[in-house]
Amino acid sequence: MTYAIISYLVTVVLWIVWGLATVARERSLRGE
Amino acid sequence: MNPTIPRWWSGLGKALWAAALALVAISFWMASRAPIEVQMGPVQKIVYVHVPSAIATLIAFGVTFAASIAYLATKDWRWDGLAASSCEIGMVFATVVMITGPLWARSAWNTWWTWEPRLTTFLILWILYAGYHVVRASLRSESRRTISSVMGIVFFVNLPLVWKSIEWWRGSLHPKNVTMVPEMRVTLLVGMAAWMIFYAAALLQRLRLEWHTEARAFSDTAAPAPSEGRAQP
Amino acid sequence: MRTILAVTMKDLRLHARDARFLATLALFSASLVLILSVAFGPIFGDPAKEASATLWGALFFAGVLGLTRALDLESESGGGDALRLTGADPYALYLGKTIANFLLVSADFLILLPIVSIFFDVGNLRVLPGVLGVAALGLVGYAAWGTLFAALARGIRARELLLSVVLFPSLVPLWIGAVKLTNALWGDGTIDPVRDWIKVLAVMDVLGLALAAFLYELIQEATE
Repeated sequence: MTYAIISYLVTVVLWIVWGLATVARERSLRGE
Repeated sequence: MNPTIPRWWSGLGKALWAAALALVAISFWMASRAPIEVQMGPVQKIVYVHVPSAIATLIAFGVTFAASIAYLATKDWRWDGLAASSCEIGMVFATVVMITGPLWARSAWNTWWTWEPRLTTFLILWILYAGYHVVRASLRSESRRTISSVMGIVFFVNLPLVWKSIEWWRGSLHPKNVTMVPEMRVTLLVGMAAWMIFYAAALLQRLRLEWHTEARAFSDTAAPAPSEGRAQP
Repeated sequence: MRTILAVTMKDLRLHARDARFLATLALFSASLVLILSVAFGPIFGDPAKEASATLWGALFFAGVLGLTRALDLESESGGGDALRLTGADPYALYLGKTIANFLLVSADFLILLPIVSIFFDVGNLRVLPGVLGVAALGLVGYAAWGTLFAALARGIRARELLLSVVLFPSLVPLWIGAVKLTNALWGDGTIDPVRDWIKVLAVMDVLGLALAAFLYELIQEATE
């Protein structure tokens, strides 16, 4: 049961991390 | 031509994200309500995020393949931008597959890893496309687009052969489809739809970076920056 | 086709001039064999399998060094530009290089074969033709894909590392086939149960050569 929850958590976390990184990258590309 | 992001892009992006996040939330909710599979128990629900992610990975790399061909044919940088963006999204999906897969394997077969054809092929894919990004990042000049396109094509073309080889190597075909009652099937379909739209939203988001990068390069050539040549051998 | 031979001879001559590198390459692969022999030994559980893996593993890794070296030599002497200026067909250039790389890695194979046979106590004259045949088939594919990818990685600092990263996963079908066939020959003395892998090797060879036909020219133009 826990493995299922971990899976969903991992998915969410991975995409959040990617999302934040992408937004940060865009900001730095635009910022100058 | 100075690339600027069209105004409608942001609107479309936001709409896609809204739809994607809503659908993903719905699919998570449906997964929690889905019937529990007899043999495997609740862990089987990993499938609702694992399978769509795997399909999304293949679609993403397929798009990279097609866009790479288009770039080589037209030399239009936007195709290369699409290829690289789709590849990056594919990498995140592949990572999800590589993490949820072993979690499922541990519960189903009591082992973290098994040389199961799909998982093994995905591992190879993951390494290859990680290499794509590293090589691409190591090249500054225009050659980077051509080189990336070549990789995008070669890696994908080789894929069926790699897959088949692993299947033969493994001996027997891994049992493919667990029997699914209709509620499960619907849940899976919703999951598929959710992650496909998520792919589109993420892709559009990532594409913006390509436009900004090209705009920077454009303004750089207008006022040349100190030359960043390729690394010398 | 004279172009092909000319390019092959040129590459071989460049290698021959730097005999020290060739010797080091041989030593490097021999040391890989040594490490793996020790890891598997002193009593070998499955000598045929361990020997096959050791042999091909050492070849793969040492081969990468040879592949990148070939291009470095060319860059150093300015030969790359000279070749392009001749207006020669890029695919002919590619084939010439591939043949040279094939010969280089085959030489390494011929050096390692007796060493591995002795260390693991495998092989005999009867299966030798088979082992050589499998090696030829496998190394053609290795050279074909390796030459293509080496050209990709040419301008990059960590090129041996990156070449390995993209080459080895791509060659997995060839790798599995080569090891399985060699293992069968050294173990059972026949390839019958694993005969299908010959097809896989052949397909890999053809696929590599075919992809290069389409793509090598583009890579060459891009990596001036």
